[in-house]
Amino acid sequence: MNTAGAGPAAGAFEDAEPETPFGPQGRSHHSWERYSLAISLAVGIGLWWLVVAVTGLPRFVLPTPAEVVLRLVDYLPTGQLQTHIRTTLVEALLGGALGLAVGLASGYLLAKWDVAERLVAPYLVASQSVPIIAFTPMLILWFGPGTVSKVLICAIIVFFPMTINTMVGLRSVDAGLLELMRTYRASRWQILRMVEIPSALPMVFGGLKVSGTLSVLGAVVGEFVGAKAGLGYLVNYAAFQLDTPLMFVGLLALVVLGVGVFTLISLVEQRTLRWMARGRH
Amino acid sequence: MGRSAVLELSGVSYAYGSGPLATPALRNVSLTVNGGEIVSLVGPSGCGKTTLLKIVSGLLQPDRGEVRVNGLTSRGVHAGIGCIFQTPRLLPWRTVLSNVMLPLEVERVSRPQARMTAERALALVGLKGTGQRYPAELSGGMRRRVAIARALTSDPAVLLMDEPFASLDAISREKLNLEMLRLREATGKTVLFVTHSIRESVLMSDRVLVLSHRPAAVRREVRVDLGPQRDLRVQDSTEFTRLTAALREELDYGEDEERRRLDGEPEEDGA
Ligand SMILES: Nc1ncnc2c1ncn2[C@@H]1O[C@H](COP(=O)(O)OP(=O)(O)OP(=O)(O)O)[C@@H](O)[C@H]1O
Ligand SMILES: [Mg+2]
Repeated sequence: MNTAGAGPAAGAFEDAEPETPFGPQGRSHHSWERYSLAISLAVGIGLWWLVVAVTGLPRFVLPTPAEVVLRLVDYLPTGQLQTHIRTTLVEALLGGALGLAVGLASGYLLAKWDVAERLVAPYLVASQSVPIIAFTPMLILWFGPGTVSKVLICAIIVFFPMTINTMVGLRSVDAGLLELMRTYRASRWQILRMVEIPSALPMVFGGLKVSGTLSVLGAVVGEFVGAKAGLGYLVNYAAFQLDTPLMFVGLLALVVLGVGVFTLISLVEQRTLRWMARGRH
Repeated sequence: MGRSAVLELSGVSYAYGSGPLATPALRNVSLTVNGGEIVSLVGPSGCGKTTLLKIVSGLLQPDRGEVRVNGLTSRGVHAGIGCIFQTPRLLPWRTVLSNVMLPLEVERVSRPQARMTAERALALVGLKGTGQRYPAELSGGMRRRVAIARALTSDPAVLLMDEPFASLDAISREKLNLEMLRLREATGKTVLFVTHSIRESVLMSDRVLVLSHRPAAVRREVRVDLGPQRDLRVQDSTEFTRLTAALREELDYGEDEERRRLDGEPEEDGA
C-alpha cells in the first residue's frame, strides 16, 4: 500500500508541469460558476412563473415556462428550429469573420499610417452615429432577402469595434520592446509577429467579445426586416401568428446562440492569453 | 581583434526635440573602444549615458559627428551589437526560456539549437530551472538576469550594457561581475558599460570615462591597470583604492562645479 502510493505522490511532488498549479484553481472556479448559473436560472424561471400565476395573463401575452417547453417539444420534430438556428448562425459567423478580417486589416492600417486615420476617421464616426437598422432596408433592397444581405449587416456591425480595438492595441505596444527588436535588426514582419500581435491580442479579444454578440444581433435585425428563414424571421412570424410560446422558443434559441458565441470566444481567449493569468497571485 | 578600434565616436552631439524646447543630451563626445576592451561610463543621473549608448548602437542618429563600428557607419542599428537596457524589456507573454531564445529566433537559428544555447545562457546567470516560468513570476533581479542571458545568446562582438546589475543584491552582483570578467577573458568581447557604482567601474574595466552633467561630454578618462586576470581580490589592493578615490573625487568635483554653475549668480546677489 505504502510503496504503491509513494510512486505517484513523489512524482507529483517534483512535477514541474506548468499546468499543474493552475489546474485545481481553474476547476474550483468552474464548478462555482456552474452552480451560480443554475441558481440564477432557477430564480429567473421561478419569478417568471410567479408573474404569470399572480397576474393571470393570457397565454398569448405571457406564457408560462411550461407552455414554452411544451411548444419547444412540439416544434422540435419539424426540424424547422434547427434550420432557423443554422441560418442565423451561418449569417452571423460569415459576417463576423468578414468584419473581423476587414477590421483587423483596417485597424492595422490606421495604427501604422496616420494619413489613413485622418482620411477614414470621419467615415468611421459617421457610420457609428447612424443605427445599422436604418441601413438594413437598403442592404436588403440591394442584395435581396437571402444570406448575402445579412452577412453584410453582420460584417458592418463587427467591423467598427474590431477596427478600433485593433488600432488601439497596436498603438499601445511598449516602445521599449520595439526598440529591443530594432537592436536585433528584426524585419517588419518579425516585429509584427513576435511583438505587435501578441501585445495587441488582449485588446483584439476584447473587441471580439463585443463583436461576437453584436454579430448575432446583426443577423436577427436583418431577418426582422426581410428574410425567409432565421431566428429573427421565426420570432417575427410567431408574433404575427400570436403564437407567443413559439416566439419565446425563438428568443430562447437566440439567447443560447449569443451566450454560446460569447463563451466560445472567451474560451479561445483564455487559452491564448494564458500568460496573463500567470504571476497574478 | 587585438588593439584595433571597434567603436569610434568623433564629435558626436545629440539633442532631444528641436527649437527652443530642445534638450541637449550629448555635446561633442569623442571616444574610442578597442577590440576586447571593457570601458565603463560613469556620470551623474540624467547626464546622457543611456542616450550615448543608443547613439553607439544606432538606435539614435547623432545630430552632429560620426559613429563607426568596426570602421563602418550605419543609418540604422549596427550589426554585431548586443544591448542590455536599463530595464529588462522582457516579453510578458513568453516564458523565460522563449524570451532568451528571442534574438536567435530573429536570426532564424534552428529551434533545438536555440533552445540549447538559451538554456546554457540561463545556467550562466544562475537561472537554471526557471525556463518555463513567465516574467511576471520572477523577482526584479531575476528579470535582469534573464535580460543578460538573452543578450549573451546571440553572442554579439560588442556588448552595450546600461546598468545591467543595478538593483541586484550584492552577492549576485559580484557573481555576475566575475562572470563578466571571465567571459571577457574567454571571448574577448568588447564592452561599453554604464554603471552607477564606482567600485564596479574599476573592477570591471580597462578604462573609466567620467561624463559631465547634461549635455554629457567626456570630462576625464581614467586608465585602470589592474592586470587582465582579475578576481574580486583586486578590490583589496592599494591601486584599486587609489583609483576609486580619484574617481569619487572627480565626480564630486563635477557635482560642486555644477552646483556653482546653477546657483552661482543668485548666491553672489545675496552675499
Ligand atoms: N525621449 C526623450 N525625450 C526627451 N528628453 C529625453 C528623452 N530621453 C532622455 N531625455 C533627456 O535627456 C537627458 C539624458 O537622458 P539619459 O537617459 O541619457 O540619462 P542617463 O545618464 O542615462 O540617466 P540615468 O543615469 O538616470 O539613467 C535627460 O535629461 C533626459 O531628461
Ligand atoms: Mg540611463
